[in-house]
Amino acid sequence: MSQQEMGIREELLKRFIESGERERLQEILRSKLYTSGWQDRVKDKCQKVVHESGEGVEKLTVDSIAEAVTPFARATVSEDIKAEILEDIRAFIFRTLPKTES
Amino acid sequence: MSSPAAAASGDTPQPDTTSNTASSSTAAAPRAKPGKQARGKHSGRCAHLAGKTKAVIDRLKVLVPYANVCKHRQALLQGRRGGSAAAAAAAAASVAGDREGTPAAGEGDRSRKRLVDEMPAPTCLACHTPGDRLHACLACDHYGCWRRGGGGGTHMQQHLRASGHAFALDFSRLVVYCAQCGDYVHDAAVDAWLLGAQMRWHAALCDAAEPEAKRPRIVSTAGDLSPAQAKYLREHGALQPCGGVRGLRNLGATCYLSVVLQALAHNPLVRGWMLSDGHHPAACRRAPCMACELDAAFQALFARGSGSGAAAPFAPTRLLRALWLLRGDLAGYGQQDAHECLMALLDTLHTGLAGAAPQRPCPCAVHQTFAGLLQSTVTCGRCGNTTQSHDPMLDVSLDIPAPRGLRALDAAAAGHVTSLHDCLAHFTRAEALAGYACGRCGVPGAAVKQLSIKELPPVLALQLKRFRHGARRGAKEDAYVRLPEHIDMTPYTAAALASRSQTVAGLRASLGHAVSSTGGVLPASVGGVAVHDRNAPGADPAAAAAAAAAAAVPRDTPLPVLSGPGGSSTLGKRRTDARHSNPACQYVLFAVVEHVGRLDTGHYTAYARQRAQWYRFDDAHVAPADIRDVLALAEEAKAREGRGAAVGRAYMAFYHKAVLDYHDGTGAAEGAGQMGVANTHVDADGEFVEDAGTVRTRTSASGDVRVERRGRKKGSAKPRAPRQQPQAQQPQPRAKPRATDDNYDAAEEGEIDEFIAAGSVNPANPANPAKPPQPLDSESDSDGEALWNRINRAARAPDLVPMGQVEAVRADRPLFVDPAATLDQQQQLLLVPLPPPLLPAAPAPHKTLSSLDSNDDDASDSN
Repeated sequence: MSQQEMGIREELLKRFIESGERERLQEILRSKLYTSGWQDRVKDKCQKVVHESGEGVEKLTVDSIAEAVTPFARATVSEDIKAEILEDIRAFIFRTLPKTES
Repeated sequence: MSSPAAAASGDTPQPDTTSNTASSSTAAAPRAKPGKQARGKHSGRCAHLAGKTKAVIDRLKVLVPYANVCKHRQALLQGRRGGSAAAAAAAAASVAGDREGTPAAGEGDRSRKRLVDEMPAPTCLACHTPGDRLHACLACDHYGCWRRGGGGGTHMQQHLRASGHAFALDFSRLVVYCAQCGDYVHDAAVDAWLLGAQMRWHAALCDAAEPEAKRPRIVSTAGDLSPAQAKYLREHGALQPCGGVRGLRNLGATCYLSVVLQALAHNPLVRGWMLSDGHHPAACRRAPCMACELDAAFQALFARGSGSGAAAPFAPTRLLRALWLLRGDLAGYGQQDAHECLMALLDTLHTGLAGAAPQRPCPCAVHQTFAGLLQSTVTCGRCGNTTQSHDPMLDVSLDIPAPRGLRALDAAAAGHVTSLHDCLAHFTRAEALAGYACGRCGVPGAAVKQLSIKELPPVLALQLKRFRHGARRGAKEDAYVRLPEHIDMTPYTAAALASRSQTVAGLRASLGHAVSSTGGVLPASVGGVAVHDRNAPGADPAAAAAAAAAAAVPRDTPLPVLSGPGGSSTLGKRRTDARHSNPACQYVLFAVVEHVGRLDTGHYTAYARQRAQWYRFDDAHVAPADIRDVLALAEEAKAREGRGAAVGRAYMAFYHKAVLDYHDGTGAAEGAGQMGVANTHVDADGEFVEDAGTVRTRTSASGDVRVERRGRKKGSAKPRAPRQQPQAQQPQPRAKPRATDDNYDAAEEGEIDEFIAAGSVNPANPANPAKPPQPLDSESDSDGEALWNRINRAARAPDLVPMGQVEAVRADRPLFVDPAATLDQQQQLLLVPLPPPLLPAAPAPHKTLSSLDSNDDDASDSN
């Protein structure tokens, strides 16, 4: 049963990407995050992380910065943006689901 | 488009790396841009990459178009016939070396479009996910994602470790990952090529986003230093520190002039044009001429040693006098409005540059920089007839809308921050007109008027109208407005508005939803969240109808979502409903003018950015500033947390395009073309030739350059034949130095040849386009090569001017102000006592022009 779920999930994911829906939603999300100022705040936080690393700046990698900033970034996305994107995704799934069930 | 935006932020000499906060949801990929200023250019270099750039670039040539097609699939398909993007995709899909000819043939396009449509998205070979930060191995055909697998490390890292391959490419962000360094690395050559590739894709995407736009094709990306040039400079040049950061003395409540001058001084187009001899005071016979005065001001502001605010402040006395003479309404020592001053300055500058004869489009620097076109669309309520009228504009004045859509005022005060997007949305809102007499049906009735921007200028000047009308006249509108550092103007353009309203309105109306005039549905709420609704006519009855209709709509009908001004619908893969951002409409902030105080009295300060560093200009005081102060992020936080009303001081904001794509006539000289100077270009024989026509050079993704000439040619040489650039040919020097860098040793050619032998499609050193000092000049290949030959010939002559002695000073300028001189020496040099009739009637407290600085004890007496 879980295999079947996994199969459907992968299929959905593939359709999500190939139909361009993911690209479209990514652009919408990107613009929303821009306009809400989230991007500037996260950039600010990244710069803080870089400055605070002090001596260990040379050993900073993208991954380590990501690790430090991810919880902050995730937490500060505003709720209405989350809700709107979730609605879009939900709508997409409803749209595609009957077709993929074989 | 992540990479150009990242590159265009102009942060460091190398493009920013972007870090992905890997999220489990495939739809949301929030990304952060760490500022890598702490890392110098050298420490960012990866030793492992150094020797292998050629191989890496070869591999990238296949991967990058593939990645771009996958990333922008929908955007590209929107374009007319797929165009050059599909051709590029075809070029990628075909074996490297199987070069195609000019791809403009119509019959190939359908198959190519199908290729774009059907090119499969790669998936991770380990876990079959197509997302999650997919990487492509640069040595083999392996794709791996960034999910952690068993045994430590992500899937891609595991592959690299297992196979011993060294590099991988982040598929969506197009940065190279080095397995041994364990991090994303940059190399000048690779980055240069990537930038060039992104520029070509920029053209394709712009075309896709706005197929009918008359936009010159991006021809070539010129300008940044190649490694050979950089090496030459390091060895032979005496680098001077950057100039241009210099305070301006306050000549008596002239802070309004200081901020305007600083904003102009850091305007990349104006600065570039002025500093490259755009206006010749020696040749100018007009007096007083604002252009001459501005030129003198620029000379002083950018004089040697004026970097970082170390030089003594400059007193713009002559400029002030010229302004007073030309615009009597601004004369006197009273406080003036900075926006008015800017408009006056631009107006007088335009007169000085272009003369009185109006010309459409005006080729003067002012209009080439600031001029855009506003469109006003009026739709009759009865017959749906739309009429459009166009107005030229030099800037956009925005009202600050009060927060709307939220019921309780206290709730509105807490957590709501007005942003520039709100102001722009308010500016382009649909408003109801009463009593409009329609041209077609003739019945007077209600109509809908909507403003939008038809043509976006390269530099966008925005003014926030902070004067309150109505009951409390004379009060300043103090609301805080959040200015974004990057702004996407696509939703406010006329094209976006048109595409949105036409198709979506029809579709949605058929669904039974009430439709606003912009095509957006009017639901009361979406997903439980109140919708930020704009002023749609007849909103209330429509909203009620929509609520009823929404309940009746079946569950699996996709809910149209009003996502801000985008208003996209989820009604399937239709051509016009998804709003793809046009990369030509991306803007970056470079100057902010702030005002503190009341309406009738106050003080102006300016923030301006030079490369990546912001400075605060408070008349004579200059200090480095932080972006947090520029955008007043502290105030924003205060507003967001509801700790009281946030006070905003920003009054004007200046943005320049992230990728400057103005039409350059020929482009051999920096900033030449339409900026008020006759078009010149360098002939194949190395002669400068005046060309009264325009040159359009087309380059296809396969690298062919076709030059079309239109208009009169005066004495130009033989017509240029289209040139193939196959890899097998003898490598010719393609590195394109800018016209001002005259010193290249012929011995450097060998190095450059080897570097170019990789057969890069376009010249080897594309630009970092948003670096403020260098406007993008779209030179054609042939011109650049001719120029290169000429420079080579010149370089062999012994009378080469060493880099260190080149200064932007002309010898015939007696009025050049020596910054080392004291103020009264400056005054004596600059000031000419006015004949009495021209002096404003001067009661005793006012000082005359001859003693402007009250702090200076040596000033001559006031009368």
